Amino acid sequence: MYELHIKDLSYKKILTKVSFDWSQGKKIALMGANGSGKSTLGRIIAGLIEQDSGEVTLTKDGDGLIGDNQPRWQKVGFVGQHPRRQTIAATVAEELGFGLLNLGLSASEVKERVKGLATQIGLESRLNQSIAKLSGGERQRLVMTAILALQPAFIILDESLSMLDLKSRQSILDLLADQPRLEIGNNFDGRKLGQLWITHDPEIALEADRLLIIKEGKIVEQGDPSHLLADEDRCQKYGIRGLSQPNDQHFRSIDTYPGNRPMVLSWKNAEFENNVFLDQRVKDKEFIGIVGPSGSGKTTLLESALQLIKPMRGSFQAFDEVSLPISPKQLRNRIRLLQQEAGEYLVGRTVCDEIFYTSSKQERQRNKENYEDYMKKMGIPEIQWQQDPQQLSGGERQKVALAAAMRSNPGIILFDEPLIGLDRQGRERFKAFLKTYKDKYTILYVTHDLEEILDMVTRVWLIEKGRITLDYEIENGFKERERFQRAGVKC
Amino acid sequence: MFWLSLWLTWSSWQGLLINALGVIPLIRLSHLPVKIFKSSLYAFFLLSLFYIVMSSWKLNSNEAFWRGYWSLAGIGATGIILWRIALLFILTRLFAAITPPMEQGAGIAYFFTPLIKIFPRVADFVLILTLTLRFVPLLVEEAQLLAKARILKGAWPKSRLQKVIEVSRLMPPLLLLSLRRADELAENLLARGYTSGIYRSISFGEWTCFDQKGLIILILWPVILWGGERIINFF
Repeated sequence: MYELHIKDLSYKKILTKVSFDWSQGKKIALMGANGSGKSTLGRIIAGLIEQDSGEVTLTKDGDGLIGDNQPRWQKVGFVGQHPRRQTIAATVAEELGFGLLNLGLSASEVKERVKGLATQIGLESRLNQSIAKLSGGERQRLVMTAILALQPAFIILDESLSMLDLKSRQSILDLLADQPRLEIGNNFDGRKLGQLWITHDPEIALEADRLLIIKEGKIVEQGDPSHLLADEDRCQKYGIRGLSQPNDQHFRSIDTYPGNRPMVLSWKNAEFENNVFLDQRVKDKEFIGIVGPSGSGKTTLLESALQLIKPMRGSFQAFDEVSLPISPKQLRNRIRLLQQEAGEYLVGRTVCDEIFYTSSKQERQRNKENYEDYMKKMGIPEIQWQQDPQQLSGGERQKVALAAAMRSNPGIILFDEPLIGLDRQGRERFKAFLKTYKDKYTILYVTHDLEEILDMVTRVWLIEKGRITLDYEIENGFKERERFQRAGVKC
Repeated sequence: MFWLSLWLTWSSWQGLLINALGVIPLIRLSHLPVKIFKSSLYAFFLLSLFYIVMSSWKLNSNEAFWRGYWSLAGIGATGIILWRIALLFILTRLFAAITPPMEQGAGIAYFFTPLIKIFPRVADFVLILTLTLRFVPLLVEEAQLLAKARILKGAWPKSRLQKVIEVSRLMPPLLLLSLRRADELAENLLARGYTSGIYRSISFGEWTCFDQKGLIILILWPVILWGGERIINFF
């Protein structure tokens, strides 16, 4: 049995003397706030970056150190978060074969193994297909299989499940559980994988044998996940999410929304290029949760509301466009979108520049006080105003993106998976914002995790294969939970 | 592409005519709309102007430029040059339109693989080439997302100067993003066990009857050209 001994690992100011042991077959969850050093630790263990001090030792059956003749990548696999950024090859077959070729296997052996692996993940008929044509879940499954094909004893998943819907997530976990079936070579010893899950999701962590909590680069707690995650005070102290209770009791009542509110968004038999068909209406001040599997058309729906894409057939109408046509420029001032990973795509040189991007220097000078008040109101500390947004943490960047989106005081806000990658503090801050403003704006909110917003939404749209298959108005309870769960929605 | 280009440069006008006739079924087989060639037209137009002036406008030594004259032989030679360039443009556009950058990379790797056994350093060269091509779609996607983030902030300026300023403002974040993505790509390669000098590539494509026909036509193409030229000359 392989074992990994991590001893006194330090790296820059990110990690300080991190130590723990990890045996093959054991599942460890690693949780911590944004910027606590989780990903750096994972990368060092996988051998992708070199530590400043300390050591990672791989042993087999208690003795016999594995030296340079068995490089760490071969025994410790690493899979990152974004399915789109994990692949390296042009086709499915090449992706599966790349690592095997590097192992030194002959071309004929690689071809044979690739066919076997593709069959096991249901991609045998798509061997020569471009990876770009696969859905997020399929891509992540492909990458995982390509790594598992190298027969590692350990695997590190760095938020690899966070962008996936429930069904895709389960298929990845099944794949990891069935890993021995993927082995085609003769050298596999039949033991299961050691898995390290870097995550913010307590439900995933609960499945692990052990939970490690990291804070400011140090392992501060480790033990049974169910015990640690049940302690709300402890979770709050370390900035991680604990096991929360389902919030069935706190649904918004539909009665508070009079029926005569004006229609603000309306798709009439609108058909888009990527087989998305919409025939929906949105009333003023509604809060609509949009859920569905990856690639079902959720982002298309949001982008069509901003006229970033236009229907091939049918029509889309925003506000009172019939009596008073609105230009795309006016429309985008009145409807704002917080993109997926919005913090990643900030274009301003400073935080202030990012938020007031389109304002001229004179305008900024003239409205200095108003602008400063606005930043304060949005919770951006003064010290950050002139800072480069790239120097901020993920949660802080998300906050800046939100402030930039809200600046024009829009009537409608569109959110595309805004909580991905945020820690407890970031999520709480964002949810507090939503709770404050939910009655002032019309909100369309795309998510895989309905629990995030279940106590705030007035209606939920389930979108599957480009069609809204369920338009569910929430009235004093959520009676369609099973239907949503069957569709892969976490709720 | 290289094979066809080689025969284009060696062909006379008769050969170019046969090459041009050969390109028509290729376009039809690709099922691409003719409008995709529109983007190459502007570059072709500028090149044409250059060649027309350089090759067709004759002037005696020590004479001012405007005292020159149009030479019939020069115009003929220019026509042949432009014909070759047009065919090269069409073939290149066709190749780029039906082959995604990552598959172009795979193709390059496949052709270079035998050389790696003789010169191991070729492996790194091939990897850099293929990675560059692999990086293109990723970078395009990132640029689109960045552009979308910019559009969502407000209207794109109308004046040309402002547009240039806007694009230059987007350059630093794009550079930063591309460096991040390059870093991720390097990590992915490392995680799959890639180290310098060991790059290998194999083809997973099934050899079909269609490929076989294509290969036969490609091998026979010089013969078709040679024979065609003779037949046209005979008439």
